[in-house]
Amino acid sequence: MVQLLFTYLGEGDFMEGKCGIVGYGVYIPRFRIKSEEYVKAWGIFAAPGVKEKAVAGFDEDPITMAIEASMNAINYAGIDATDINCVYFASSHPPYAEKLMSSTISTAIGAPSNIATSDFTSSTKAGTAAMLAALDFVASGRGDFALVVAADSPYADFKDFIEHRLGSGAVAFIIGKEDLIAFIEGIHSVSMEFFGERFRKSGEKFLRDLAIRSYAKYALNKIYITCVSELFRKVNRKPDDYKYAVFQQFDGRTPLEVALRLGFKPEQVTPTLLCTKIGDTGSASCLISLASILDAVNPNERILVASYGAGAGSDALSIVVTENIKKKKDFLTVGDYLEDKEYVDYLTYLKFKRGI
Amino acid sequence: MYKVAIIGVGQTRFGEFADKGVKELFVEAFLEAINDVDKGIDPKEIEEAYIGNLGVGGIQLGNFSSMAVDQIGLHGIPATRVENACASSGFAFRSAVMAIMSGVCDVVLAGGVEKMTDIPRDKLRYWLGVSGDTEWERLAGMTFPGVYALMALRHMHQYGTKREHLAMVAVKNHKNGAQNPKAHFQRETTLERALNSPMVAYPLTIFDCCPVSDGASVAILCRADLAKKYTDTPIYVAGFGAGTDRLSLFEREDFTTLMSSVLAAKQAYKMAGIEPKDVDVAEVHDCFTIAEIIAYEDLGFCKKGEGAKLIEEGETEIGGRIPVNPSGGLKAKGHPIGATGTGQIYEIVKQLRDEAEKRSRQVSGAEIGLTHNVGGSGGTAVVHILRRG
Repeated sequence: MVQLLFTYLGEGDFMEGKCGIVGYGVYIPRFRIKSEEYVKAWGIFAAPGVKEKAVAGFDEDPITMAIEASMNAINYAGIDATDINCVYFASSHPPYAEKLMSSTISTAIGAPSNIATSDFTSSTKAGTAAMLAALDFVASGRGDFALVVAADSPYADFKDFIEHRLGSGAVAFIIGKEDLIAFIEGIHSVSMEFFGERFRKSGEKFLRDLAIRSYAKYALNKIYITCVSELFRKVNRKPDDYKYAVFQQFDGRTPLEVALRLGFKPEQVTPTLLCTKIGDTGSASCLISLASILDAVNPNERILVASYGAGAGSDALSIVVTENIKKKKDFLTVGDYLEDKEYVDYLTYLKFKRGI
Repeated sequence: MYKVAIIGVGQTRFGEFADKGVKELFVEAFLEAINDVDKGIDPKEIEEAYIGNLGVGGIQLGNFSSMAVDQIGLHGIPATRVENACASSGFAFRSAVMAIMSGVCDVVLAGGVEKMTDIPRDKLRYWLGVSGDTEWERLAGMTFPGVYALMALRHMHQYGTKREHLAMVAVKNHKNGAQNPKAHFQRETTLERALNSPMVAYPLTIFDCCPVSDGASVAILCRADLAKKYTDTPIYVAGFGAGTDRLSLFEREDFTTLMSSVLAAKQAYKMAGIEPKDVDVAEVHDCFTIAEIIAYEDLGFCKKGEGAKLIEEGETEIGGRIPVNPSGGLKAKGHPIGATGTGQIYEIVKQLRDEAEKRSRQVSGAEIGLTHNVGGSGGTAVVHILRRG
């Protein structure tokens, strides 16, 4: 197996804290399905650690969810949509293989036509990839505010085990230079060739999973260990320096295994595991967890976010919270969306997912 | 007929290796075996090779032996793939012995390799079931654990064996495996944990079942009268035996015993001129914990039906009357199907040479060792008796 290693070395002003998060917002659909419904249908629920998950309604998709999350982020940031210079949209399972979806979002939220937009896709690390690009956009001086929005509602064949854990959700961040609630002190990315254990060929409807556990574990560990240790070296940090560490949440168990291997403790990771309530939200997963952590965190605390995309690669960010985090009141939190829920049965789930 | 000696053995660690395929594994074991020959051997002296492999995953079903000798740089020599399910390399070893006994060859390689962890779980289930009767067992829904579960239930019914006895086998073998750097699992377990673990096929829990492993093992054999040229510590093949049984469970008169094992053991003891009580250490085929208990009886280590008593009394621990599976057995050491047979040979050779790693696993003063390798649910079985020089 040939392994090609490309390392992106992040450099530039934003590493010294001049770029970061001005505001954020999420959108989680209100429908939920419990693991028990799967057991009734299939006799098993094959997503360890997931108790229930969010389900996009019949008329929802990543674009509609992204628009909602974006409006929440704009509200939090206290800016106007017309201030936005860039919209980067990320989804591992977007409704279109070819059509600018960032344009739909940009227009729907009222952003100007003179704007840079791009769609990021093809893996569950698309969300962090979009965030890194947004940081570059602002740091390089191309604009003052960038909107990064990741939204996913992945689906797979109902008879496949990978389908059990797939959830729905969206999260948006406004990236800027001033009045930051959190700045990025360092980033690192890693890319190595692995056959994606989780993949979809062009034109295919359903997400597929090779289900070769030892191979998936090998790829995951190799990528994560390389990426996170190099980030630590760059910013001169160690696991104990972080209050929270967010990893890719394919289920409720794998992120803990990864974290422990990297030297973190369970209490740094368990509070970040939103997948236990909303399922695997693909490219939005790490960023939704980051948003829920930001709802609860204190100034000067540190958060590590490290995504993983099959095929394979990782983006890692070392984030420091500022005093401004306490200034915000009156915004919809992740908790608000989590509490607003309505359970559906498996039949309704199938209808929403257009399975019957 | 010539006598046969083992002059070198090698084995990879058994386990899950995402970055090693059959080729890498076999080469690794081969190189270790060559380097194990303490006075040195030129690989080109090897005249023939018998290699065990089931072919899980279908990676190289045709001409496997040719691929294997090609990879170790011995293309040109006659090579044969031997397949008898889980007893593949045990039978490969037996063929190598007979090739030397007959006088056709002086130096022969016997080994085995299997790669099992590179296919999805549901495909693996198919491959694990191919060693039963296809028409009447496999296609009727029988799985490999299912077959042994039936044997366990019958043994429990006929002889009062309890689930606790099965768990005791798991505890012993994990304790041994924890001290074996080559074992797949190197962690001990407790009786409670084994008994309360998820059920696979009643009464067998996951702790009663051996794992799915990758691995390879190789032994180099030569004519006994030439052995001292290669090593000061040759281990001699004192006897061997093999047998078959009705393939399907439902055809057997009594499936609390494996006729193939009983026949193989009888032949081996007779050839070696010994009795069961003369065996100092044994590696038996514990694909499931019940298989070890049945093996105690089939190999004559105890009376029929008293296998449970033997494990309960601790007689088969290292330091007991008849240490069984000091390597951790298939349960803890792992079971890469094609490699298990010569893996057992590897362990017994190391024990008889007083070279067991770690030293805490060494059975002291072992002079006569036995290996017991079974194919599937007992369709085939082969026993070897090895003796220190």
